[in-house]
Amino acid sequence: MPARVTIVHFADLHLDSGFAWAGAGGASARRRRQSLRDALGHIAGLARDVDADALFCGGDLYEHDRVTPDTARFLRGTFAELAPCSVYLAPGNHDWYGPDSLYALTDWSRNVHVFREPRLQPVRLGNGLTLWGAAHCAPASTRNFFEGFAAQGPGTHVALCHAAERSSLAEQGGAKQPHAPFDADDIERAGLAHAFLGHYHRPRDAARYTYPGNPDPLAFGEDGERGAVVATILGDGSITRERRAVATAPAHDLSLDVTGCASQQDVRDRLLRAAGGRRGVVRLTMQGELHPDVDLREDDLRRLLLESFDAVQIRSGALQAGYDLEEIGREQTVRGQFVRDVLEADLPEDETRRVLAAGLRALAGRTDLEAL
Amino acid sequence: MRFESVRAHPFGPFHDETISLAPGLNVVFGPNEAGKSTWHAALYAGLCGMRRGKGAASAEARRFRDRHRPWDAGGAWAVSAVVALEDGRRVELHQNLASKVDCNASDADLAGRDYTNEILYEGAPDGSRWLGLNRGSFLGAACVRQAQVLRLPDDADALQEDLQRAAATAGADQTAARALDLLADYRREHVGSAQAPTKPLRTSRERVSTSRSVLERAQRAQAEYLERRLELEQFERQAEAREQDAAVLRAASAGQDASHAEARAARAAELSARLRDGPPRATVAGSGRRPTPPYRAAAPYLAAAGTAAGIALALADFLVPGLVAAGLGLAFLAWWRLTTRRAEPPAPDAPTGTAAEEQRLLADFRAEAVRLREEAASLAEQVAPAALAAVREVSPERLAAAERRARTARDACHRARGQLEQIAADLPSVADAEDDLTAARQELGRIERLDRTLATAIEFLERAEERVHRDFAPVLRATLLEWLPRVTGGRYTDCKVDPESLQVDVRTGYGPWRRAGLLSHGTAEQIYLLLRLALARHLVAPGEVCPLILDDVVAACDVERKQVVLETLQAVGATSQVILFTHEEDVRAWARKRLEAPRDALSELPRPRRNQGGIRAVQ
Repeated sequence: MPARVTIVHFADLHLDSGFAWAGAGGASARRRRQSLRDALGHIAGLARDVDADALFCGGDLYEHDRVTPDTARFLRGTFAELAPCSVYLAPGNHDWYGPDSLYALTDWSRNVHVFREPRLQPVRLGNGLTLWGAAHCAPASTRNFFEGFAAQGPGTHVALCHAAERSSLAEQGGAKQPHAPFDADDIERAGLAHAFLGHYHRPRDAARYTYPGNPDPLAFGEDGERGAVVATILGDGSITRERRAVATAPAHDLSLDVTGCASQQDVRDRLLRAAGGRRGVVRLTMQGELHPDVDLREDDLRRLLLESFDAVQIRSGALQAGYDLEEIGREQTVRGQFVRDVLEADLPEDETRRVLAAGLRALAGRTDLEAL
Repeated sequence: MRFESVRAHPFGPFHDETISLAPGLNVVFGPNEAGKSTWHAALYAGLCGMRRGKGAASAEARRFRDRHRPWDAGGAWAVSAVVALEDGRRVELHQNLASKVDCNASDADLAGRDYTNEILYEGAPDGSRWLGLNRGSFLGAACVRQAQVLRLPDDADALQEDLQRAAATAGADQTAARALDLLADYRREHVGSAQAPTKPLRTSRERVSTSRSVLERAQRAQAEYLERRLELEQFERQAEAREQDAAVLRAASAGQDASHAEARAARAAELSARLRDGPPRATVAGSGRRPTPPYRAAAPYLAAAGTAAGIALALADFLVPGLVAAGLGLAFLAWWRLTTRRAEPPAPDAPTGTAAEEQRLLADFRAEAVRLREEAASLAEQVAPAALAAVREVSPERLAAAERRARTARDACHRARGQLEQIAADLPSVADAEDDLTAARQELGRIERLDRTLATAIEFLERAEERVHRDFAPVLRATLLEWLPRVTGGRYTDCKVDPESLQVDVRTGYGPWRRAGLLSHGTAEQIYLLLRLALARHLVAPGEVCPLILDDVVAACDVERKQVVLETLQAVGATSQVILFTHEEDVRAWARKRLEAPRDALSELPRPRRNQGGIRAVQ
């Protein structure tokens, strides 16, 4: 019977992150930051529940440029309470290790081990398992941790670090930078049974590596089963993995078709039905044909959604003004000429919609001239 | 296009009643409450139908429904119209206004030919689309209300404004100038200039600037905090090093003290052994021997005390005075012992008080040495053995200096920690500041976007207004020139229309220009009707002719002017259908005398019967 080690692995929590992306500011953003902490609380709870031997963090635990003393105390306390479960922290590019980093300046409890070198360093976990961990010591230009590395000694060797597997970079979106880039083959070549990683926010379970994904939402449109990974490492190096959701406030993508809504009230009712008691953060995409008489304003929708959600982002690019522009354009009037001219002008689509709405509303004598 | 007939089945108070219309001028006469407005509405509804779409009806549609729904038809509400188009087709439009389902347009001559899809607009067939209009713009282009004409005498700008409205929206909505005013007002109020301190553009820019400053301050504070935190770390390391130095010297000094104490104890024991015979014992009271004088009894104690004090002094780094004192004490004890032995030999087994005191002192010395050694060992445990071994000699001055340095470093550390805690307590959140700045930028972006939108809308609307007015002006002028000499009896023969404002001026020959809105009421009304005719001609699709539907437009004219206006309408009726609703007897009289079938017609509506809304249509 091979020896077993159970670990809980997470990464990319990004404590103290900004939430402007979600349209959150002030109290909403603070609530979102609190939910990140709550997620870590859930991860710690998970480690206790599964009686984990160790908790792994694959970097970007917090954001160096924004981290607060309170976060340092929170992390210290959370990890200290996990004792005797060991906690292994591998700094990433957002929480790089340096003399003025939270990692260096915090008086960690004895069960916490911070990897402080930009090359893989060993820690014996027992049961013949050796953990090799490394740290980013700068926000950029960290090289491949696995290049030229060979795990030494008997037993099973696994790694913990913040690194970008090259072939997965494209599916992670254009904004993702290849920090500490490596090829999947590097892991086996280095004599490692598995690498527990951070950096990619989209979860990925490969044969030799695991990206748990960001446990709490950091952007809209995130897909995949993300959270923390409970992994059991057997003596022969084989691994079983199970993903657990730990987010406290998920991000929702709602779509609202306003076609047929005769009043703002209709839109509100339809929106509340679409929201359906959800919580967290929401991105609302408006679409369909909005009747010209409906006085619909972004602020009104935002206020309505903020009654249920922490943060709201509204997109109205796909919304069509409910004017029969073809018909109006046939008129030999100023209105018809205006519509023809605007449609023929080389304006962006949403700008065209807003200009037409403003002009046609003004010609109708309306005073609500700011369109979605 | 011209109406041939309209049938109400049912519509308003009418049920299965029809009004037939001639191709030229139609005078529809009826006293008040005879149903003129209802037939007017039926004409419109029969041609254009009503919007059939999702959602609630507009306020205008609701008013129309409330006013013209049948009173007692069990929910049915329908109207049909037969119209003749310029292309020769005769079309019957059926509008089911209640359900809006059974609505269609079919050929009146060729059974089965359906034109519904040709003119569908907002879910229902709309015959005005053959005119290039729709049920919104048809009202503005083809229908002239009494109120519009009544305004002319009181408002010199009414004619021009009406033209502008027709030019802007076919009369359905606002003038372009009013729309531009609305846009400009909205821009002024919801954007404002960058100089206006209370307007959104300025305040949102200030908010961005303030938020940026707050963020910079937060970032500086964050950097300072991290710097101070690092500094504290250095202070702590320095204090720890100083404390280690002091601890090593403290341990070394304690070791030295222990060694001295051990040496002192050993020496005292040695001295005690050398003086093993000790001083004479005290005389026992009541033994029958001669009593000892007091000075002799106290002598050994004084000597012993002097000896002990001397040893103590010697051990306390006062070696010479100590040894002298101890020597004198011992000498005196020796003298005392010799003289006392000769007089009274002591009992063999009874220890004397001096010996006990000696043993107690020696025990104290040993205990003190042990205590100091233990203390030194304890202090030595706390320091590195190598560092301790490296210390040779510790003077009190050296130890004091090390203690001072450690204390200074510790104080600096405490100060730095206090300052750091103060900074931490007041440390603003960088993330909060970033979010606020982003929110401020988004708001500014929204306002700047709104500014661009409104500016663009204004620019396009101004351009459209200029172009349409420029196109309108010659059309209006041409129509006016065609009719003006005839309807004014040669009084005015020339006219001009300002392409910018659509202001109409007329003159006789080469006389001075006179603004049409300021002419006599009758002339102004004539010109207005001609201009409406011109607009109706201009707004409709090429090849079609728009009928004019007039609601009591001569009600306010005196007899003479009325005559002229009616003649004008009859002349207009030669080329396009004119339907004039009136309640005036003199108009009926004029019509009876002047209108001739089949080109023109008079339709007389009967007086309303009590308790019955139905009205018989006559031709």
